[in-house]
Amino acid sequence: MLRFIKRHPISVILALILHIGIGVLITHEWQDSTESNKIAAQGEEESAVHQNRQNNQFVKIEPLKTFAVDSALVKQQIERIQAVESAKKREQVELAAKTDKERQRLKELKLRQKEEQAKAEQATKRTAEQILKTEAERKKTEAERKKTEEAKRLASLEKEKADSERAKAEKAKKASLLAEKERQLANEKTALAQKQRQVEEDRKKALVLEIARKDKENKALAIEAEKAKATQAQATAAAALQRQLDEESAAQRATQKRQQLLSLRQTYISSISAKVKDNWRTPARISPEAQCDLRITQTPTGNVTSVRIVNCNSHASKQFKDAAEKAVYRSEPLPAPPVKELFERVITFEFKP
Amino acid sequence: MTSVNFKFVTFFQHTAQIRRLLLLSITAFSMSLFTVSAMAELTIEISEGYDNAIPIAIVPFGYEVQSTMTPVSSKTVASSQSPEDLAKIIAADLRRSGRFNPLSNAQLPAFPTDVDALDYEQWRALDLDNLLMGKIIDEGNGFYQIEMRFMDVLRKNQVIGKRWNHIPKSNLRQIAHQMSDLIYQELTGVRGAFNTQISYVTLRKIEGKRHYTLEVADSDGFNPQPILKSNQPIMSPSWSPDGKKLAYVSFENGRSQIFIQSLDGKYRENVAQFKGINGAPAWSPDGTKLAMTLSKDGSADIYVMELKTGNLQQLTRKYSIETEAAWAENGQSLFFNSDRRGQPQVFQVFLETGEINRVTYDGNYNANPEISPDGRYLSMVHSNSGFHIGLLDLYTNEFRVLTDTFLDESPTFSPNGEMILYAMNRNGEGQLAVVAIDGKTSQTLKVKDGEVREPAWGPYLSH
Repeated sequence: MLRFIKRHPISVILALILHIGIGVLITHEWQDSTESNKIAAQGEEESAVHQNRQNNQFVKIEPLKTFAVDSALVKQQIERIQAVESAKKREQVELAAKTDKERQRLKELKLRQKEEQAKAEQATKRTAEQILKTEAERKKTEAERKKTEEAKRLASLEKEKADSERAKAEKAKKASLLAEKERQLANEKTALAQKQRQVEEDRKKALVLEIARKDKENKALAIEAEKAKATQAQATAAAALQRQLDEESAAQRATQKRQQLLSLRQTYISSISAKVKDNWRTPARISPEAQCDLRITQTPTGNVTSVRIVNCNSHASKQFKDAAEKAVYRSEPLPAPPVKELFERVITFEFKP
Repeated sequence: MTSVNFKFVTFFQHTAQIRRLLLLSITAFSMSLFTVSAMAELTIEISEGYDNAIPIAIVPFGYEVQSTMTPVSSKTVASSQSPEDLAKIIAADLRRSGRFNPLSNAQLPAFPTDVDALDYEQWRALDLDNLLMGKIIDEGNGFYQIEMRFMDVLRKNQVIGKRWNHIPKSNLRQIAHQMSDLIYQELTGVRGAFNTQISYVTLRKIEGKRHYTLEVADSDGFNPQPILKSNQPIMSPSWSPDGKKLAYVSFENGRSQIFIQSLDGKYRENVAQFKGINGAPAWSPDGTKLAMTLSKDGSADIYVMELKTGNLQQLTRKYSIETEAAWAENGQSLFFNSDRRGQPQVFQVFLETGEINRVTYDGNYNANPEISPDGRYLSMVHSNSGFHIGLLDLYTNEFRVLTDTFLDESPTFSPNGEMILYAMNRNGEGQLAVVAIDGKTSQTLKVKDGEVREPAWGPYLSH
């Protein structure tokens, strides 16, 4: 669009002026019609009022209405149109002037643009030159670098070539060796295969033999197992019998031991009772029927920690009880049990001196 | 208590028959009265002790003088300055009972006077059960404070703790006997009879003349006090139940008469001066009556006199000799001896009904009955051959001979019934002896220069 405007500035301006003119005309026409519409509306209102009045009161025959055209008003209207015409002309003149001015400005702008463009081109040229210069320098160094690199590359290529040749030679050598090896390997493989075949055959033979042997063995084992089973059954029965016997004898032994311990316990308590009796003495005259239970608390070393005189009969006097208690203390240390497990911390026995 | 007739006979003859024949002639025999100035203490010999006497430690009492300046602190003074060796008195008491064996001072490992100073193990090692220790504190002005601690060595505690204040020197021995009593009671369950008195009659022959003295002494023979002195026989002392008076037979008026005399000598009364024999007085347990032997109606019979009125109740009416009455402990009957069956045996007469039962059957001679304070035992002079003290258990009728001494007579029970004091004859001289009723211990009491007879053990002292 801009390019179009730049290319055809006069035609554009003319078109613009034409459009503006048309626009002005249209605007003016639209304003007039709105004015007349307003008046028409007023007249209608008045008639409506009249109609209402008539409707409300009575029908009155209206006299014919006439419009008197005011010459002043027409004049005014003409003047106003003329003013508008002149204003339009003025506007056109102003627009033409403006267009000229604009054209002038555009020309100048174009000139300035050209100048600036020239300047810019110059500057671009300079920078391009500069760039070229540096580029040349860079290229120079690059070329040098490439040269050395090329030299290097060539050297390495040379080397590679030599290497590859050497490698080739080696490869060939290796290949021959490999071939030799492969040959050997193939030989070996065949030998091995043969051997394996042999071994396999041997194994098969052995396996057959083994199976036969195993079979035989299994049979023997089965017999053996059968035999063992029988023996085991016998043994189990014997063991059970033995166990039963053992249990019986253990129970018997336990009973015996229990009885033994019981009798030992009796002996133990009797030995304590006897020692207390030995140590019994009193200046008091004691009834021969006096009797009490002595409840002695002792330490494992037989030292007496407490003595309680309980369950006395009616013959047991205070002196009897005192003397009994003293006899216990006098019996320290109390006799040790014949078996350690028989030790009792609290011992109670009937006491009758 | 012994009867006049039997007692005098035993001085000269040793058979009951002769004694009985000589009865009347002796009562007519008179002697002149005279005073014996010297009082000899009885010495006691323990002839037999228990086999199983209990060892006991009686530690010498500490002696302290209470300073008048600082009454709180007191100074310990060597016990040799102590006014009385209380430990010695107590040890002797306990030894005499036969049930204890007090250690000698040399055997004691220490002399503690206070609980703090007591090492129980040290004493237990001596096989001891008990230990007594204490202090005499001199309050000044001849008065003392006494403290006792009786310890249980086995159970490690104090059994008895007691203190006496303001005791005059003359009473210190009595306090010691009280301590013995407490210990004895604690250990035997029986009240001790150490703090009691005995009465007896001593006979000294000076220049061919006989000197009789009725004496009262402590149970251990110490503190002898003369009650009556006479050159005529004094016999059969009997204690009033309150321990303040004695009834006895005195020949001072030329024949046997019964007197009652207070121990302090302020009171003396001739209560029986009937024709014939007035003998063998015995105080009733309630102290209101006196049983006696009177022969005012011909033969010797048992009478009971109401002391207030002097009224007599005759309990026996036989031609035979009935004498030596002893009261049952309940005061409702009397035991006496009678030869109504030929030989003297003990009978019992009931005051209410006059019913008479024979009590003794063992042996051919049982006389001079005495009843134990609990009424269970009857002691007597028993003879099958020789005269010994016999004991009959009235509950079980079990009879035992307790003594093996010679010519025993006049048994008398200690107030606790544990011992019997009696008279016997050794080397031709009268001595006293004590035997336990179980017969397990005995001892003799004798005076230095004379004979001692007619013992009677007094009641408990009232304090």
